[in-house]
Amino acid sequence: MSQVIQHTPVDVVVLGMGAMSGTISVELVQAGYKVVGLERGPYWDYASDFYATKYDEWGIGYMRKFDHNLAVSTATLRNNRFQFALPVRRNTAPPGQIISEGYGVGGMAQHYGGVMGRFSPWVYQMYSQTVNRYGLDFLNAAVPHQDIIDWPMTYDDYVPYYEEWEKMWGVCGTNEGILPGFTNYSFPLPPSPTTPVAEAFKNAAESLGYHPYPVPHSLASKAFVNTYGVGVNECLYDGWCGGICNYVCETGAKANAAYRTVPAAQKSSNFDLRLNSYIFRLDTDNTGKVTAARYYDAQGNVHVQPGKVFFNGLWGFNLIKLMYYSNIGTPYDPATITGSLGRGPAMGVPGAVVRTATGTLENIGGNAYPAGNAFGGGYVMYDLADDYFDHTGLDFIGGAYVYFGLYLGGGPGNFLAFAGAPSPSMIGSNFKASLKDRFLPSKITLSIAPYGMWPPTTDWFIDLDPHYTDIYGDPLPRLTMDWGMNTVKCANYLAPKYAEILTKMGATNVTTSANVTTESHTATWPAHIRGGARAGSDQSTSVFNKWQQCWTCENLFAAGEATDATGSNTTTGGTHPAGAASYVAAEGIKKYLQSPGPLV
Amino acid sequence: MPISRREFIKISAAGAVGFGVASAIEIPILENQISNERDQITALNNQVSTLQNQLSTTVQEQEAFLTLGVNEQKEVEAIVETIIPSDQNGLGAKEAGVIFFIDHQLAGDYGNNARMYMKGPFVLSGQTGPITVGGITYPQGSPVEPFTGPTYQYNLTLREFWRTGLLALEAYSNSVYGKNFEDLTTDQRTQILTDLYNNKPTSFNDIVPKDFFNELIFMTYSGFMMDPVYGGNNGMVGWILTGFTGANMGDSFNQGRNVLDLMVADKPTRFPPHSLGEFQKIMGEL
Repeated sequence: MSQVIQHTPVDVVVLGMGAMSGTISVELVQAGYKVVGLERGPYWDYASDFYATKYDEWGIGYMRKFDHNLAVSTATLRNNRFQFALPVRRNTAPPGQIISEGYGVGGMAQHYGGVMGRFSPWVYQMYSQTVNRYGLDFLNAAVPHQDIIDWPMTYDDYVPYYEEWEKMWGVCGTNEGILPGFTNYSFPLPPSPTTPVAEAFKNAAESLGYHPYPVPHSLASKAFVNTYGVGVNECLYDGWCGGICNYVCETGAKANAAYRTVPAAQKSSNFDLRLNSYIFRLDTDNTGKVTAARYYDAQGNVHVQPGKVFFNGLWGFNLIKLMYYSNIGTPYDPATITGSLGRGPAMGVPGAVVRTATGTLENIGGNAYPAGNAFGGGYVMYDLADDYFDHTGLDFIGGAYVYFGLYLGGGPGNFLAFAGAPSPSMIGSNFKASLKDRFLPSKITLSIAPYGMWPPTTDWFIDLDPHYTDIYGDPLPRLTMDWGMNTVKCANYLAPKYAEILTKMGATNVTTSANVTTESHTATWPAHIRGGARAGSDQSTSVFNKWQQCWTCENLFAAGEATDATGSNTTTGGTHPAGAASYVAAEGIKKYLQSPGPLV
Repeated sequence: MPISRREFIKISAAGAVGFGVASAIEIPILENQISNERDQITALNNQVSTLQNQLSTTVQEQEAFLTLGVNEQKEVEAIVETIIPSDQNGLGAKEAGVIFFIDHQLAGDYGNNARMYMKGPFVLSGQTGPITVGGITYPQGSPVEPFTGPTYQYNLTLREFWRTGLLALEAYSNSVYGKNFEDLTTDQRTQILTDLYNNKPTSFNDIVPKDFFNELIFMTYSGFMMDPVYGGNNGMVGWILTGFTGANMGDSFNQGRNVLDLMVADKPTRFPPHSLGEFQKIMGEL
């Protein structure tokens, strides 16, 4: 018989123990506050849980054995609000559908690719800088129904928080500059050794006048002790890492909260980590403040945990749906374009979605498998990203970064991601012959995919699905989103430039995928969703203020990709910029505990 | 008690040394000794051979069916060997045991949709017209879903999806050629599968033929390429074909290469694959 269990109040209740929650936990515990951390999954011990069993593409890439089980909850997806939204029933490796939320302490960063990189100053002021440089008419034509807002602070304001994050996380990268034009600081760890194919890319890009940098990443290139005294192993470079199938790390070198922040928080008796705790509601009082978090334990008992401050560190959709469930915030209405909760989702485009350029390189060296550490060991160039090139005369904003380094991450079934949709051409000896030595470095097919711009519009939003519920009976989150013509135009502009780089590298049979003419979106959806609970300066379009504090619920804070005002793809995911925001939130929470009230 | 390869070599070497130090006078005794040792070696050889036979029996026991029916077995075998045939580039899906991969998956979590969201309503993807669900009308139907794995919006476990699809496939094969799929020529089989891709069958037991086609391609290649622990990729034939090294990080067979060297080497290195089981065995012996 399940019962309701009332807990004694604490200072801070942290929801979900992913990357952002780790920052909040350790910062607040070390500041002397009592913190409860709630996590639905286990605390993975990499040396025991991952070491022997992770070299398994089927288990990881397809059965997702270390990830969230979709039978518990998923999301529904559609292109526009006039369609019925279909639930993601099955997780598969790209290019299928993916709900990439994690499970257990560390969250989705247990299985990410580990690409880091700061957002550029332009991203933080995408609206105002674009309007200043090109005019509002240009922006409205480039992004029909644009719903872009500036972040609540500028890049310069976020720099100190970035630095805190980078030292804690162990970001590896160049000392040539954080971003083009910024040379006063270098990442705390050096970049990984580079692969021969990365060097070939670098040389080709430089001869075309571009400026490639060693890619920033979070796969420790050296053993180190971070700012909280947590020791970290060096990367093994075995190649079973991020890549396509999203492997967990067997050494803890790939940064996530479980091996960077939570161990430091656990040294204090002020920290109480509760596993197998499934959060489903926040209780509020008549002043609009959160009074308690409700969660289920392993026996189905309902626990009520009161606190002074609540930090919502859940992954993307879940951060947003918990606010819907708890009646916090004003839901967005696409018919009237009012409200802010669920408003302005954007996407980081995982590769091979819109347009790609492909070619074959022979005898380039290195090894396809093992092939370095996820996305480390490569180069990235920003010349075609953000507003680093002049858009005068073009019909889109932003761009895409170009990354090159790894051959193929983890596993031969990846060919399903590269061969394209199943078709009759995959039957018989001809196709089998095309697979011969497919994954040997003597013959490598390389693709460059645009990690393109995907600015928010008023047509896209996240709300609750009226038809589907999770295993507990709560509605599934519903994502309404398309490619958008800006993304399409951008990809069409960039694909030939990628082909040019491949050709310069010495690749043969260089082709680009077909020109895209429609914004209708049929490929991978929610792997890199961001926005939907944006931080901004105006509460009519944002949910959180510059301290990551909820406008309408002063003791609720959040950080994560869901609170990004806008995004770009100078990074694949958004962990790095969100990480900076987590330090903003940590400071905000400390201010609030000293002097409660709205913090602006 | 099985005899180790090392002990076997030691005994053989002892026999050879005995011969080397023998004097002529001692020949009768030596002959006896050699004869004894020969008997011993023969006995050991037999023992090794018995152990090898036992081993292959063990392997065959793993190659047993848990869920596919007798008719389904013939049909699935024919499907997978059509998709990946044995040819000049090596063994195909049949020899790789892909059917056991599929069978074991369908009998377990995969076939029972243990990690899939399975609540209704069930609405097919890619519907263009207006549809009404739960009293709400959607003028633009439902979105097109990505292809890998197959589009899946069925109120069926994957085991039942396969049963339904396999029965429909046999019925379609009989309607076109008057024969079961497994009795067709390779060209005819390819034609039937291509028809599924093109949604040519007008009746397919309430599933979209192309969805079943996608599932067949997906699971056949998965069975050919995933670790042998799952019952397919027997002898790692899929990895030998594609050049994947499995869990061999460069030193599984004392190649003496470390992964960082391999990552930055300016010449490509080819080395043999290693399965998860072999990797764990090596780890256990360390």
